[in-house]
Amino acid sequence: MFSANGFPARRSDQKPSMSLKKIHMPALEETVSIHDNRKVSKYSIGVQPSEDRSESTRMPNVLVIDDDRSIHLLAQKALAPIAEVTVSLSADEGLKALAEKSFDVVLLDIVLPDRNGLAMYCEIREMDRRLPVIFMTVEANSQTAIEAMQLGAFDYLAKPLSVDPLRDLVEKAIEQREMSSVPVAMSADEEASTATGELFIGRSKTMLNVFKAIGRVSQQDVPVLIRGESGTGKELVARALFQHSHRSDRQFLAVNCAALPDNLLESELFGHEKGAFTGAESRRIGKFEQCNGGTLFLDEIGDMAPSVQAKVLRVLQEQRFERVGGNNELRTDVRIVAATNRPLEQMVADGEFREDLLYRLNGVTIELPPLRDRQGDVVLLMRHFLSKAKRELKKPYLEGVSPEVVEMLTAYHWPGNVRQLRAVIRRCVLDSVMPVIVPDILPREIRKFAESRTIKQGNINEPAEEVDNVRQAGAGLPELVERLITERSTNVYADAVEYMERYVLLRILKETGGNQSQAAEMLGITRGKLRDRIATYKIVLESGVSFRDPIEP
Amino acid sequence: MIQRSYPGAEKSLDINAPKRQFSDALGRVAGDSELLAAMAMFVVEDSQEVIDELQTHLQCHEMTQAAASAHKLKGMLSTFETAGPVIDLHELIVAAKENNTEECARIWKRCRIEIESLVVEISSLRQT
Repeated sequence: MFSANGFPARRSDQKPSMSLKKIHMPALEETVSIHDNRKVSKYSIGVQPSEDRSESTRMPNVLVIDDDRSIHLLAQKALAPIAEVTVSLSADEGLKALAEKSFDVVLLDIVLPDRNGLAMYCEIREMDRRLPVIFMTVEANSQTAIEAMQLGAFDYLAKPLSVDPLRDLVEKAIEQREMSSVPVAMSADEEASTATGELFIGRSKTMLNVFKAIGRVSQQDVPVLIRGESGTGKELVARALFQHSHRSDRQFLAVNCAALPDNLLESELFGHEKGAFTGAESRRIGKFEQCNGGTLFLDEIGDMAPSVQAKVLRVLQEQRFERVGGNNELRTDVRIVAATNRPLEQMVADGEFREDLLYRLNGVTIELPPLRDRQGDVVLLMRHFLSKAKRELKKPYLEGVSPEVVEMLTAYHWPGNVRQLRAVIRRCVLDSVMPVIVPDILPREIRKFAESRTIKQGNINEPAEEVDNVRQAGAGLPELVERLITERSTNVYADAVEYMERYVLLRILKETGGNQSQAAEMLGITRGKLRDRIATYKIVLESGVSFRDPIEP
Repeated sequence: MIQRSYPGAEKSLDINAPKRQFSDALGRVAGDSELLAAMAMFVVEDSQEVIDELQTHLQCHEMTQAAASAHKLKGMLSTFETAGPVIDLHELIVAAKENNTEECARIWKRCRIEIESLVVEISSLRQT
């Protein structure tokens, strides 16, 4: 039965909320719980109400504040499959509704008859900072819309509204609301380590070894070679060696040997005489001369040309050098600290690096571990970068990150090491419009890594017989329908749809190896909806893909 | 041709002019003609009051209120049409915010008949 507006008419004994009920399915050993779900289709009929209510299964509530009644109608129709919609014609009405009921999303017109939309937005934020607010405006480029985004609005929609983008955006906002309602696992207000003067962050055993090594050699006037992958903090070690040395009151200069062409690098390091080469209009003082008495950091020394290597070796051996194009021998007292991520021993074997230079540099070596080998430090680093980014990017409303994000970032293998972690955190802080950073904001490669890791924890290579079992389970639909007819069920459609849905989800998730993004794309539904279904049907992904309760063929 | 005039009108309503198909509007509501018809009903019911408000504010040189009314009218009509009179309303809003009463009057004189024509066409959707 349908009402005049096309929506299913509610029976007098039917309660207007989600409920749970238990049914027996032919292909399952045990009962499963399903939702009495109006989301499935507006044409579903015969839905049995239940006395059981669960707060966790309620429909999300959306508040629409707009003085245009046609917008109310469009929003109600568009969002009916995913939310219960309340409408208000003015700011005062909207605030009254917010005071009386809990909402998951607010759709707010920028211009209201009784208040400026931005002022209204600020009042809503005061009431609930985690409530996503989506502005609607007929002036998509208006200064007000931009200001609203700067203040932290979830998004804005340009009028005229379209049903599908409206629904998709509200669905996304509902998901964000759910995820950001989790407790903050890490606050964004932790004291930054640099506030205490610490240059390094790390408590893992490997980093403690690094600190000890710095302590042992910093006061010695010996060259040091720092080795480690890109982004592990080699320059930080160099600076720490300098700061703890007796040369700390003299200069510290850094040169990236990979950043300059060979001839320019030589000139940069040793200087040149006027006319030494085309463009040498005047004498230039090089870094070895400039840094006399201090410390010179040669980063990426593995990229240094052999001719320059020879001159550096001479400085190390004799503390002497000449400027490019010059005849005068100059002396310098420089402590050299070098760094590389290249396999110098192999380069020596290949003739690309001087063996004698390697011997000179290799006297003292400090190895920096990659971030994946110091997972215990990831949380410390996250905390530090988070509070720093919050201050620098001026995000006063940022509270922290969710437990899921902490878990995902801790588990990630970080090929770009600490530098990459810092960039990811800063990007998340910049992109986040909610007070809590949730997994959806993380870069794609981190989310994909987390998903693939979930599968790898189990057996991703499903034996063919398990796929056959799924097919067999799907073949039970006719039997189910016959049984329901025999039992004179008044819920045939919903039960059959549920059976079909469970089979389709399981089959597609097996096809994608548990990859939810791919599965959602194949199914033509949002990831949020898929996640909801996985939870509803208790589909387990840790050990391949299956239902928590085994399926009989 | 039916003549409909008001003080200062430049054009008259021509019922023989080609009718809009509102195909874009139908696309925005995912092809739901019932929804579009219901929205048309509300817009037709509410728009005349807003048109009259806008007229009054312009005559009284109440530019802030005129901008607000024009904004509301633009929002209502943009569901069905995004060009023509809706663009004129945008220009009127800009002029009102700049307190340019002459420009507002000029634009309103130009576009009011088109707006009313649009509302008439929208009203035809109620019968679909």
